[in-house]
Amino acid sequence: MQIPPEVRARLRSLRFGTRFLANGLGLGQHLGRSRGAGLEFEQYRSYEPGDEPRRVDWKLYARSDRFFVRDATRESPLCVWVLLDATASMAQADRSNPKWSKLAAAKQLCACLVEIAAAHGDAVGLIAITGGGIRLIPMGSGARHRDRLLLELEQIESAGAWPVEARLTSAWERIEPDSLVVVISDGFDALLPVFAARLAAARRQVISIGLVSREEREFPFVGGYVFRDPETGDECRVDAAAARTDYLARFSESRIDLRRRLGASGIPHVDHCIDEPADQPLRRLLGGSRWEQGSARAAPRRA
Amino acid sequence: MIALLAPLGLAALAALLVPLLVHLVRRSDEQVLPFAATRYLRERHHPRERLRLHEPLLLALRLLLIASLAVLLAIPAWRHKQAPAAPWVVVAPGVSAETARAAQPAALGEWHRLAPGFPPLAANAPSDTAAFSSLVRELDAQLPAGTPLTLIVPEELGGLDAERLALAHTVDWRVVGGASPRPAAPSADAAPLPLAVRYDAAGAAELHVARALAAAWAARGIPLALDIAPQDATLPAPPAWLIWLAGPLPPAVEDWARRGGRVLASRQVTDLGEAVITDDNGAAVLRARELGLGRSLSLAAPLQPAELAVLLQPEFPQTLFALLSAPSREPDRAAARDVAPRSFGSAPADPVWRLDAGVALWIAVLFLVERVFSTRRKVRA
Repeated sequence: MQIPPEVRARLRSLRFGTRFLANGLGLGQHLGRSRGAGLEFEQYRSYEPGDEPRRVDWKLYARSDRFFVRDATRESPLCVWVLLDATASMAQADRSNPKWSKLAAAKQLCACLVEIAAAHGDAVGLIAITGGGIRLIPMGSGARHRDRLLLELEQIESAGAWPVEARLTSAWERIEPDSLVVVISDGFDALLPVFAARLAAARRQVISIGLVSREEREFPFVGGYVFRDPETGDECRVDAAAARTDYLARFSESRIDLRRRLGASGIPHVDHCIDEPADQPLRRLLGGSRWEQGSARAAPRRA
Repeated sequence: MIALLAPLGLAALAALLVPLLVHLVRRSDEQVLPFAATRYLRERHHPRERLRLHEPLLLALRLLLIASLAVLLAIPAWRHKQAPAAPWVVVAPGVSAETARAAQPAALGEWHRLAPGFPPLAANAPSDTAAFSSLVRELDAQLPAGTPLTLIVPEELGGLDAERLALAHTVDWRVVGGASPRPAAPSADAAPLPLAVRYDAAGAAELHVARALAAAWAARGIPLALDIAPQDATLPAPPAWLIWLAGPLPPAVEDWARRGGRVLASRQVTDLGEAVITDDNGAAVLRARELGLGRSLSLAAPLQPAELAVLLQPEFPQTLFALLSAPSREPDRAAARDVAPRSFGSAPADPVWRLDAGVALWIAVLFLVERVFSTRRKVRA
């Protein structure tokens, strides 16, 4: 999966925020929520029985006659699961660029996420959900794992409709608590928000990117058309120009509804038009000050 | 001015319906498009069913093509509108200029002679009476419509043909005294008729029969000036008679005959002319042929009794004389008052150029353009 050079350049400034940290397993490059011994000063706290004597700040003891222990932030690794919707509706493409389907755009987003994770030593796994079943590439990190992921990504093809809940059990089992789940879909399947909400409720951090094609967003059709739903096969025979207003109203309403439903479960959601650069939704989801604790490193809070 | 010579051809314009129907029938082809967001569409707005024409430019081309074909069937022509010219007064041969001017109460316009090219009256034109009717018709076709035309003809009018004159112009037909000059013809008048006999080596054996024929005619009181000489001796000026005993007629002799000579030739291998005398088997013995003002009689056999049984018949010289002296033409003279031309008046005889070739070329170009348009890659919006 090719990432355009300018997008790749902009990816460098992106990283997964501390909110998504795994629970203190191993050493990573992210500022951890758990504190302890380490290089970066985080805070002072009062001595408790059991603390090692060498962690007591003796200079502070000399000034205040009380025992304080220096806490440092722990740098932790992050687990990122990319949940890719590969149902038949993801094959939708604009007629102006028929090869650039939503699935292709989603693959590029995946590749970007994998690159971001690889750049910061985070572990990435991929779950592609098609009508036929689940394709799962287990969690891993490093350059070799990244290459394997990108290779596997190429072979994913869209088919079928969103599977029933029971078939998603293996995905359930793999996604461990406190990992970050990035859902990339078109948001048309009603079951997907339900699945995402359940993940969020079970202590997984979920963020969602909804892909929209330009034709879906602007409906530039004129004349008689028979529109066919690729998943259900339903056909709708309309005069496009006349149906436009009604369609646009219902479509934007459905997008707002989707964002509201996800937001209710604490899942941030952005819509991404597939002919826009891939780093845009990532910047809005990852780059915002909402989760990125960049200031913590530069100016540590002092007690 | 463009005119249609066969206006019924425009009925082909009915074929204009065909492309119209073709372009209408195809109106309902709707595109089937896979569209993931179909669930947000409602079948409330059906495609409008109003009559629509697909590819209006191509339709216009096809209509134009068929209309052009219909015009081609109707035979378009360019009619050159001519302004009426000054009145013409045309004087037929046989009427002198003085007589003509006397017959005309007032000089109405240009004076011309009825001769090829219609020269002015003053010019000294050769008077050829042979084709009076033909010349009058030519004049009628040439003169712009509406030109007043006066024809001054002699009482005894020659050069007519079998068709009564019918002209587009209204003709003022004035008859004056006189007669059309007659073509020079042999006549049994006081001057003896020159009878030349030309022979070659083989023809020398036939000379005695030629002499006998001349004697037979002379015995009937026809004065003849007999001139017997070898074949390359000069011929008397026509009108004269010639008995040619020297094989095939050379062109010079035929030319001589055209100027009014009458030729009897033996030993002719020809199938030209009408068989006048046939033998018992139906083979032509004697053929007669008009040659210009003169006539030639061709005998298949040598002029010898042994070869030509018909020579022995007593009435043969008389038959031959009748054939040689008969008038060379169909009767072409009549009283001028009786042959005044009819006028069919209404139709102006403007010159007409047919435009078929141009229209056909135009249709070919249109057809090519139509093909290019209808087979080009369809780019849909």
